[in-house]
Amino acid sequence: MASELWLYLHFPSLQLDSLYADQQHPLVVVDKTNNRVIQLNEVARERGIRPGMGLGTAASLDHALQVAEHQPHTEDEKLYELAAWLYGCTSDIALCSPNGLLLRAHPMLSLYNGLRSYWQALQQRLAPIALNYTYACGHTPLAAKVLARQGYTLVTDDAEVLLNALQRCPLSVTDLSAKQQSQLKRTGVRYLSELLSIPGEQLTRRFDHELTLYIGRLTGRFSHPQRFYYPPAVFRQTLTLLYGIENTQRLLPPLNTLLTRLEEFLRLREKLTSRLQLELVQQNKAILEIQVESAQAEYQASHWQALIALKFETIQLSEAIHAVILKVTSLEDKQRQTEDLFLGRQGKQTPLQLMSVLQARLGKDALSGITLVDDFRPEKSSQYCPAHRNDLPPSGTRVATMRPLQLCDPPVTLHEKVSLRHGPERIQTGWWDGHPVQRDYFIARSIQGQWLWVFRTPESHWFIQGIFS
Amino acid sequence: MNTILHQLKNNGLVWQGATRMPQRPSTPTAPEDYLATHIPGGLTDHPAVEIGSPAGIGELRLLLPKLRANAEDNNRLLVWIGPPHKPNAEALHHAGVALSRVLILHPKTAKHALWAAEQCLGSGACHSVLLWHSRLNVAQLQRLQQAAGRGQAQLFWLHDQHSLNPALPISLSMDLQPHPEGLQITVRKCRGSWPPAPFIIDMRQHWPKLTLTDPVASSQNLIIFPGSRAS
Repeated sequence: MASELWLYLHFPSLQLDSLYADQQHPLVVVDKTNNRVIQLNEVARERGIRPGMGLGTAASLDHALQVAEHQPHTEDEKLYELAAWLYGCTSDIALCSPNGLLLRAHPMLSLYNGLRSYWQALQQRLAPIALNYTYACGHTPLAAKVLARQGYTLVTDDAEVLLNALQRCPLSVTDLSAKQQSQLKRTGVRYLSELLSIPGEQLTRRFDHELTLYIGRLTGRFSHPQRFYYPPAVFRQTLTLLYGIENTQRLLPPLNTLLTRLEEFLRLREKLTSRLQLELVQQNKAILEIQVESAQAEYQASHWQALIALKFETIQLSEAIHAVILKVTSLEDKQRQTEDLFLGRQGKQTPLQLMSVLQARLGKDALSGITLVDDFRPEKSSQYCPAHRNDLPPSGTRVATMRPLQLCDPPVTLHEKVSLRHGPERIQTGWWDGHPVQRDYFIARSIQGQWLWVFRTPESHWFIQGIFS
Repeated sequence: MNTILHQLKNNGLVWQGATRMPQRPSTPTAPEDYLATHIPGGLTDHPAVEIGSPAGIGELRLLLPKLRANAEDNNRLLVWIGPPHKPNAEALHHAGVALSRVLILHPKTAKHALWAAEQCLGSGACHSVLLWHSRLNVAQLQRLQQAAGRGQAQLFWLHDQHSLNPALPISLSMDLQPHPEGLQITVRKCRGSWPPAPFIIDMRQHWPKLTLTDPVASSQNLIIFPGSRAS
């Protein structure tokens, strides 16, 4: 079993580090059940605040102290995001709730040509995320975990060094329950070295099965199967804001961090998306859903940023926003965009990009194309369609010659006196689909000189169908 | 400089010959451009054209040749912003306008319409923008014209009043009146030359059914081909 090597990353202040807040002020995360400080930033530490301190004591040390409530589920989500991020450079990752990641290192060593360069790659990967973490190797998952939680920063595969380090660890950093720990403490066992020196048969006789199992897994005598992370097919990330934001424009900078991660997500998968779903979580947990669409699928954060900024101009927030969730569920494959080499790009935008911009501000309904349908009824032959989806009319489509450029839809009753210049042209059709028409069309000129396309129904009612503008 | 002169200039009341528009890579004058014989260059080289006209007398038919010419050799869009009625696909297709490159916008407010026009003009993705809008002020028009220059697009601003404000810094402005033979055009302003005297556009050849007198009847021996197809 000595050939196995595991690497454990321990994030002691996961929630605190992932809060979107400036770290210039003292900031602590407090466990609500017992009102004790469990995570704190560097500024708070300078002011004399320590982990485990009561909230009252901490607040008396600094009046400007900012306090956030500990939320285990946000840490879980963050852990999941971290696993997704690290998946880019290591394969087997197990999530150890609440704040650790376990990496199976030995299969990666031949790829990275040694532990040192593997660790360098991981460090580079972790650098942009700006989290505090401790790390340690171990020949079993539990050994690595204990060492990392003790605060080691130890990357080596030397069995002796690891064993020495392990033996110096107190029982408090192990996964043993408080009851087991106090039981051991009463028998004089305080450090792992003392626990590991107890022979196996004595252990089973004196302590319960769980302890034996733990020791067995720690030393590698028992196997310890892990459930590894598998990357999801969709993008979903949450960003919790430290304080409520009521102005949409001020939501943009925090959103940028999410968009940048989305860009990375899409880039790694060679995918594009044409729709973002934003969920803005309000104080009372109500969720404001916003859809941002782009006519041309994109992955770049800057493109989405511009569209979201436009979308936000039309949105009024009634309540402060406390968290932002960005979801992307439909991914598209990258496709080559054809561009004429000789014409070049004649502007900054392609037609589809322009439509994305217009759509974001004006709404989707404000844009349309127009398409030709093979029908004799004018109101049916010319139809609005989604912008840029209008296909070429099938060749051989019958096209009437004298038709007005603009249609009144629905037709308007004719009130003024006109002179009929040409006609009639009878259109009698549609008896099969429930909209039968029998109309005699004329080209008419009004007294003001307007050219109108008018028709007469069998009941001798006159309507204006179009104008020859 | 003299403050009064400054003011006059800022309000667009003085036209200076020295401030020529930067030369755009000009598209050749459309062979069927009705205006080419009356205005030097026709509709070409004007980033913005104001057209004051009652609806339905031929104001769009006047522009069709130019719109066709603008669309040639590119796959840019023709944008209609706030048309009073629904554009007719049949007529457009017959007139040689590629329907797949027509974009119609129905903005909810006038402000949105102007914003959309500026976006379209400046994007480089549109060749022409038809904007139905009742009133533009100097600043708005200047922004639109600048955007048109940036994106090498052409703005056709249509409204149903007589040309509103002679001080507007528009490059071509004209009023249209119905006429038995087609249209009567009064050019109010034309950058780069004096406006010509009111003239008549003869549409009898291209739109024989939309004129009152038929040229075929007057010249009995000649049969004229439908104009838009003539080679």
